[in-house]
Amino acid sequence: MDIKRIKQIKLLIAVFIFIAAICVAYLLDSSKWKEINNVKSQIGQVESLISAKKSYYAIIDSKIDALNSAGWTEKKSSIAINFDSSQFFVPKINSFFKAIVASSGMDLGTMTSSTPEPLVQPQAPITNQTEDGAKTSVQGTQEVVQQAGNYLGQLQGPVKKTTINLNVTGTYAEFKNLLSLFEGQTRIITIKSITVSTAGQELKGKTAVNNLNFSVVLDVYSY
Amino acid sequence: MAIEIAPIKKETDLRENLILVFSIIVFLISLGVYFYLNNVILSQNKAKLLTTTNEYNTLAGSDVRVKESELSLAGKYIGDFKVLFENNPKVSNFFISFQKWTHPKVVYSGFIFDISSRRVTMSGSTSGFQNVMQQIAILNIESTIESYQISNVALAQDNSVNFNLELTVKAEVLK
Repeated sequence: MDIKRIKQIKLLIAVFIFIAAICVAYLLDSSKWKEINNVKSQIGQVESLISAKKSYYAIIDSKIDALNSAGWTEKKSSIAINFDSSQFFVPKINSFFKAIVASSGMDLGTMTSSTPEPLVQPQAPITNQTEDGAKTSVQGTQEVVQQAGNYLGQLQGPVKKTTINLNVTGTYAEFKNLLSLFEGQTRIITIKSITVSTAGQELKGKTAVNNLNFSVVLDVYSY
Repeated sequence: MAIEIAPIKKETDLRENLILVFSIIVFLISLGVYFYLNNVILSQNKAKLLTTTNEYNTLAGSDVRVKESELSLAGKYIGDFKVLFENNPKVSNFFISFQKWTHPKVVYSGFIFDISSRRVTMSGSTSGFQNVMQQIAILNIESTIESYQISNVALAQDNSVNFNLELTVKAEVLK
């Protein structure tokens, strides 16, 4: 074989190998590079999720720490009586008022209580018809909230109220003491009305005191 | 005849050999890069992804749900307590102001206090009209009273003067 022919063959093989190298680089290397980048982006996403999760847990931990440092455990147990949802709520309320009236120095006459009812009562939507015949509905709950001065709309839990009618007898000073006892409780007692009438005189020691009948309507709260 | 003595140029394939070697080197580099990417870099990244995913999956502490529910409960309790407490009228404040504006010679009875409307209805009794006039004068300058109305002023047989008093206290009184 002459030398020219050998040169041509070598050149041809070199070109073929070079093209093969380019194909390997383009098809295999670049696809692997893309795959590597894809895996790296997945790692980045998971790492950002881990970071977000860690910061979320850190926020939760800091909030729990803040609650604990503020004495939440003790405060929770003291305000939780407003959000009691046990079956024995009414008996508990009865004994609570008996004790508080007795500690004020007054005599408890009668006490009646209603069944707990939701503070914000959902109502059926009211449908109005406009002039052009289109019907518009108004949500009943919003109406109730607006009537109550908007503050009921700020409640987050299913707060119920129980209305208590309390008839107590005692002096004016004792009644003021009872009111201050009510206001000093962590159980929120909302007085709705007070009716006072004369109950006659009573001898306490050597002095006669003017007793009064107080009829108090009040609300207490539960979940 | 003169004989020319000169070296004969021998045709060599050095250039083609170099090109061939270069092509083979490029091909081998391409293959090497492929195996390096596939067996080293990619496997390392896959291992790292697996480790990171495992870390993410095991990151959720067992007490996080408990803490979340505790925070949710605390938010609900504190929020509701705040709303109820801030909107709870302080009725004892009324009696403090009541003692201030009551005339010492007027006796009140039949007392009805509706807290939602801040309206108080009561019957007064005193020894003369002058005390009623003085009581009216006190009510006129009393800052805690929004409005008042005295009605049914009557002289009784025992010379006492009876009247009905209906008044509305200002909202600030009950705060």
